[in-house]
Amino acid sequence: MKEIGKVFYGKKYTIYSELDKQPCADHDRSTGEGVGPQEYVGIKIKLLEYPDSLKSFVGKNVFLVAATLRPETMYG
Amino acid sequence: MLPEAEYGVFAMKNDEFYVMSERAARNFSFQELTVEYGKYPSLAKVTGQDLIGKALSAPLSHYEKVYALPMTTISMEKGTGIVTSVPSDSPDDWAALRDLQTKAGLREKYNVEEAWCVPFAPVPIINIPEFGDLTAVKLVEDLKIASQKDTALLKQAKDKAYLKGFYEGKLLVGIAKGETVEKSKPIVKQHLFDEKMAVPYYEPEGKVVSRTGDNCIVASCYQWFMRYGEEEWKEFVRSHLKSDDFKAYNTKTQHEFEIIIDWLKEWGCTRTQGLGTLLPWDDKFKVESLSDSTIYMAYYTVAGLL
Repeated sequence: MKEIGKVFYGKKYTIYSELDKQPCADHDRSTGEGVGPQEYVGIKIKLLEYPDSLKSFVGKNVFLVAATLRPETMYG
Repeated sequence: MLPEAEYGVFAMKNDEFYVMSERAARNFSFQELTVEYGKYPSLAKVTGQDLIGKALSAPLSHYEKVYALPMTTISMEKGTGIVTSVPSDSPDDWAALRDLQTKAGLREKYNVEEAWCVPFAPVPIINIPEFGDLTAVKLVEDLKIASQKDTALLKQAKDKAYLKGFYEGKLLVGIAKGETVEKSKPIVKQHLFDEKMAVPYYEPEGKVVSRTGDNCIVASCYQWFMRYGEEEWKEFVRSHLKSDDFKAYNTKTQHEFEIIIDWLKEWGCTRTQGLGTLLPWDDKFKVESLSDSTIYMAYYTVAGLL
């Protein structure tokens, strides 16, 4: 399969177990067979005013990050 | 924001600091976004309530300045625990904004000033022939949705809006103006990434627990893959499914096959830990084992010939 180019080395977003330190394939799961990664768009919403609990970040770039499946609606 | 939720502040590679749930930061850290891969120390804690009323600059938004507002239906088990508000096209967002605009008691409860919500009218951004330029507003009215707590009706409205909108909705503004929602989605997404207004973020589409009891995340991993998703090969299998050589005996099964073929994509075939055969050309990896249910299927296809 490798000779005919059906196997390749690459980066992919994979279901992963931090505890096991490796991808968690279907048969390694007790819940969630067939569940794959869902891609979101992480929208960076810039904080213009800081609450007291974040005063130490004044002058730094702080963003609230919202994960959306509808990037095309950000104009609203 | 969810008022009672606790959010963390996490340092990213690009000298930026992101506010989100710790659960999301854990995913971020394994996607090469945080300063150190796999590490997600929270530099500060902040509650949703602390952030309410703070001025924000939202990318691409019609309004130059918006304010963080409370939304009681946010789940901390999905996304970052922070959501954008698009009252023109999301029934949930319109219901939540309208609650704040019209209910003084609710504003009082979360210390929300009128200036943070009342001046923000929904902006027409997508036209759907059946619903007009403010789909969410129309659907919330048509279905007589009273508040953001009408979850069943809101779900119905959301499904309607998205189903119709995806193919028939057309953008009225922005870089993909005139395009359908279906076509504009990848265009606007790429634009947001290119302008550094957004980052790609992944998480499992449902709950995944490993056999070792770990709540799984999504990580960017480098490993070997098989090209299961090749279009040419898929087409070959699809034509076989349609031919007289294949009998599913009922249409549901036939349909299941079609869905699975569409769903197949590149498939990881190696692992780094546990028992297994070393990959012949790269011994950092072992060949991923097959589950018994895969072996049955493979066996049945040749069993008649043995």
